[in-house]
Amino acid sequence: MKGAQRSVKNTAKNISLVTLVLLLAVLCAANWLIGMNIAQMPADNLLRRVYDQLFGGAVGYELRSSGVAAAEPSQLALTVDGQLYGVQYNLTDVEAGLAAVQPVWSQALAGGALEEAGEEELEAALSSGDCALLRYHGRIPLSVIAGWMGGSWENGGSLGVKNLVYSAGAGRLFVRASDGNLYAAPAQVGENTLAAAQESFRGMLCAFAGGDYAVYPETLLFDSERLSLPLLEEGAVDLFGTQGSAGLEGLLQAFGFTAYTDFYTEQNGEIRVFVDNSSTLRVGAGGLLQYASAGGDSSVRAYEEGEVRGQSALEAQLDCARLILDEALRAGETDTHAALYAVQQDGEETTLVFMQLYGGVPVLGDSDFATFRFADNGTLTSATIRLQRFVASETRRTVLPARQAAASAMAEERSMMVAYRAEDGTYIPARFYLQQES
Amino acid sequence: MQWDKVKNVLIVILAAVNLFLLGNLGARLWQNMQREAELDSSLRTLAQGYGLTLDEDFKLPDDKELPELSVDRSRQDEEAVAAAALGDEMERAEREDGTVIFESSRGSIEWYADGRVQGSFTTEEGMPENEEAALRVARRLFADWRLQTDDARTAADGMTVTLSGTVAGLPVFNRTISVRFDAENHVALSGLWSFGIPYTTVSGSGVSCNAADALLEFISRRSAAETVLSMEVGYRMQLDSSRRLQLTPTWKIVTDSGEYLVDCDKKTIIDQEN
Repeated sequence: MKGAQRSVKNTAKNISLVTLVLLLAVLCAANWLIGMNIAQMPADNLLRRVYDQLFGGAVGYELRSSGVAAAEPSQLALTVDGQLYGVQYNLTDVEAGLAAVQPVWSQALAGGALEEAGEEELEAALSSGDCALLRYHGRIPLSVIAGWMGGSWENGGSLGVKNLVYSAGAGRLFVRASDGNLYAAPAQVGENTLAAAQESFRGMLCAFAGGDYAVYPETLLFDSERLSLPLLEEGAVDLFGTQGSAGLEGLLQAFGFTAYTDFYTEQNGEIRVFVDNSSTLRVGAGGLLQYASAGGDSSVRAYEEGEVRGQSALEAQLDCARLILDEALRAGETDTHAALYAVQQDGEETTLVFMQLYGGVPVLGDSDFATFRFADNGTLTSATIRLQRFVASETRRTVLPARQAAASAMAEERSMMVAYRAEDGTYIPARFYLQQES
Repeated sequence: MQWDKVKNVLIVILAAVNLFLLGNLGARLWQNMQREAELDSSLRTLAQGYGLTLDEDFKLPDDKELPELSVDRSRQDEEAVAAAALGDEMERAEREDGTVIFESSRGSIEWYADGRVQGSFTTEEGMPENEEAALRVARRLFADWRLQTDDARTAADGMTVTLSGTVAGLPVFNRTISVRFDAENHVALSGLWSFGIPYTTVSGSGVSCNAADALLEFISRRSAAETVLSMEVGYRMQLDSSRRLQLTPTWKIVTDSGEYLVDCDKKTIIDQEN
């Protein structure tokens, strides 16, 4: 009898112990959680997601590694019903075309082993069936373009590229590097994805230049091309005017300053210099912005030191620069937009170079439109932005058609672009040859 | 026997620790409640100082940290809605500013780059007899046009029926689309709408939506004697300088004289919604 009683007592103690240990765990968790600010955790944190689900935060949104592209393609093309159609140098057309072909590129840019390829292989692939083309200005890392398209590219992702061609017939992705070298990797796009893109893509009839001219085989030649663009006059930017005050406040915030930050003036008030403990921002009324931080310390950070590295670090730097440029363009009411042109990684420093576009056409100047330098620890060490406002005149100029330009291209002139360049104070659109980078 | 004593000691220690933790938790919750009550009382006093009152049923919502979201414009979805409304024989044209125009013998629909839509076209539905009938017919039309979703809400005001819905689980205060029955077999469509799943980036920043800050900013900028009835956090849709659709965290404050939007980040009153 005593044995049975002891057994019951023992069982009760065991149950109590287990219950108390479980309760201890729950209470520890509750005390820990109540002391945390879960709402301020990063959006990709699981705890944050659960919290938002339970307590009415934002749910059901996508988290992209690099959602917003810092550059739009200058040209894109897709084969539809055996004919190649393309769009170029028009922001609206490019946006619409990109929305249609993005799923194709998301699958084509899924990563692979890049190997050097020959021009003959590309020419054969271009005539072997359905093709898609993307062309960017400058030299943008392949991994960055892949991120914008919803794909990813790790091996060889730092390669600066300007043209991408997917050939469904050859099952290959061809990549033209900024130095003119051609690389290829196996790639596969689902038939349904390609068909859906072909159904919604709209463009003008065009063709690949092939081997007929000195230019690259993937150069697009549009049938009956008549690119007529307005001449541009430079208007005045006034960042200190009453209209620009709200924009200036946003601009200061983007650089980590506030509207109450101390500043002194130079050149009869034409330049305001904002200074804090670690950085200086010179704002010219006419649109020249120069930022510099001292000793690697800066109030503008793309990410916290050690938080991200590699590809994610570059994407965060691009996002940081893009958001600052957004504020700057808004403050200057410029009616232009910025596009990433080049990424230079040199040891512990990354330099991002942006160009400006008017209605999708690059506006070239003597200096780069914007440059941002980031240190390895994510801080913005320096930045320069040259804001310009343009007024389209009623006079238009027709740009030399690509076919005629290609026909007269010399051996070293492998590529062409349409851009505005200043001549006697007026920005005139013209087609330029691009020589191969060495 | 020895184990028996050890278990007793363990039970006592665990019970003591648990009691301490429970007490700590209770104290924190109590402090939070006290703080909320004090904040509520202070806000009411401050509001009175500015000539406004907080309604008796007004409860200050919890603070939120919301991500700034982006939405891709979907010309395909826009075209699908237009095709459902205008018929398959419609023609499509796009202007330089990104406005897409759909036209057919039934009428036309225009989608702007910033998500605004305007249309005027005929339908097979007759003129509804009353508000209730208008609501019923509009729901059917919204479903036919592929605009009706599970979380969509419809409200009728006379012969105008407005559809609203959530994005990312939260209301987007200016994202509504209305259909007005203006004649027999004819409707007018207008509003601001978006398609697809919104997104943010890993490095995208969150915006702190502090209810007390927003309310204080609001009452300090209002001059009329009003009663604040409620406030709610959500988003407002706008086009950014790079022509991308953005969802910006925003408070909606409802008073007895109207509804107002207050930007969570900049704490500025955007506009009067109604």
